[in-house]
Amino acid sequence: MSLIKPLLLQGHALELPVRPGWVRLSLLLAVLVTWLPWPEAMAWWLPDFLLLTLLYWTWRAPLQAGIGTAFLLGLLTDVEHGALLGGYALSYSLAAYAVLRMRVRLGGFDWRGRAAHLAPVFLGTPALALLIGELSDLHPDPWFLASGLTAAALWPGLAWILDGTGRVSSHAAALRSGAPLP
Amino acid sequence: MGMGLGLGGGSAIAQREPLFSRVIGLNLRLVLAFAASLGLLFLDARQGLMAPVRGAVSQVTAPLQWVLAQPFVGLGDAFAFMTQHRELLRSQEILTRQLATLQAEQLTMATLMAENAQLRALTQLPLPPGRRALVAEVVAIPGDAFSRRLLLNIGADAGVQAGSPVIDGHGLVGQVTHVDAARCEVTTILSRQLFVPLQSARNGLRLLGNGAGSDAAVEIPQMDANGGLEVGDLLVTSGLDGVYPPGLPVARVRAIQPPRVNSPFASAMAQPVSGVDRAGPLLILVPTAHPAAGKGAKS
Repeated sequence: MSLIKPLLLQGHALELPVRPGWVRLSLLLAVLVTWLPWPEAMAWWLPDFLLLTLLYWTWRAPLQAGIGTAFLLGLLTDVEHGALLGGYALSYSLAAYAVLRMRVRLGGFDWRGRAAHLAPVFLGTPALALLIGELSDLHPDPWFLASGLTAAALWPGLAWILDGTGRVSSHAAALRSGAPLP
Repeated sequence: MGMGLGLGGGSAIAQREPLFSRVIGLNLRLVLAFAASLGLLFLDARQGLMAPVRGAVSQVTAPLQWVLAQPFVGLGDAFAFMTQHRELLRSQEILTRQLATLQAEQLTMATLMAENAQLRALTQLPLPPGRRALVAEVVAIPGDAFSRRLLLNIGADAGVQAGSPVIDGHGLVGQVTHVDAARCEVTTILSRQLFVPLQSARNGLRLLGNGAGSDAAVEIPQMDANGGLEVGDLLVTSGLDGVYPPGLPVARVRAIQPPRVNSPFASAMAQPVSGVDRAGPLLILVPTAHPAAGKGAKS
């Protein structure tokens, strides 16, 4: 299956092209946010801002943030945690794959339906990373599964904020695609 | 990330799908990512890939993280200054009193150590390798599911070595597990994967303890049900692994769980005696090649 096909199926106003530079910048900002000196007591329920931002762009701009991007950002998370190289890379890749698979379907739901579709992904990603850690005898703390819950709860708000950013105007998009101006 | 190859920029809306797709399919991409991840996991488990990669990446990320933390450090300082003045005065009073006690204790300690050395020489026992203490401060407490860690403000430049035990004024805090040039990372005894060989100070019973993760406790997952451990017993390092010098206080037994059905082993929970989850100066016990050069603390 090609990545181009689902893009062709979209005709909604939100599907205007996104500036690739803004996708990269917002992912960088998400990395910096996770690096802030959060209090240790919050660590177990702190949502994974990087995963939230990544999956938003995987949904809205799959050409800018796909499985490759997810893999690299997962590696960065692995290195940051310092426990196991490849655990988060694998779970982020799978999360991006899941979102790419349900992209078209997501378009048919309102924000509540989309949040319900994405919640298993947000819960499953840390669960998979912790499971890989458990299988590698690192005995991760199961309380950190809570971060998936907060991420799922935070998703509609973050998606609403990011919906308002980074789009090329419809006029410029029309110019670029060579279609007649409205 | 190479995802837009052959598509020209980001505007794919008006483009037709080419007859022969040159884009790697979604399933194949997932398989590639899985293969790469599993390969890395395998290499990491076999060759210990993480340490060198982390060393290289932290060259870039450590300064960035330091910069990010600065505004919050300033805020925290200001807040502390406003609210904790009285507390500081009180703690200074306590510290002054403690200092006097400690100084008195140190005097007896010096004589005791000299006496001890003489006795050891008399019995022809080899001296354990000397240790030098480096004073360190906690700069950050990175939180993640895999371990309970502390980031300290000195590193390889100050002579810190990976594997050195870390203590505070009350007992064992953990072990240095990663050393950068100017910082080092301590895995505390609360970590589930840090095992410490222990013995009961009361009756010499040997045990193996590890951290309990989110609880601020040390657990002894398996022990003889009739071993004679009691609530209130002090657990100290046994020194059997050669990592921790023997006799460092670690934890005090809080509860003992009798054997469950189908298990011959009892278990126990113990309360760390060190201030492992509190802030305070720590000592890193670095082995020194020449035990005579016990210059003491160095900041």
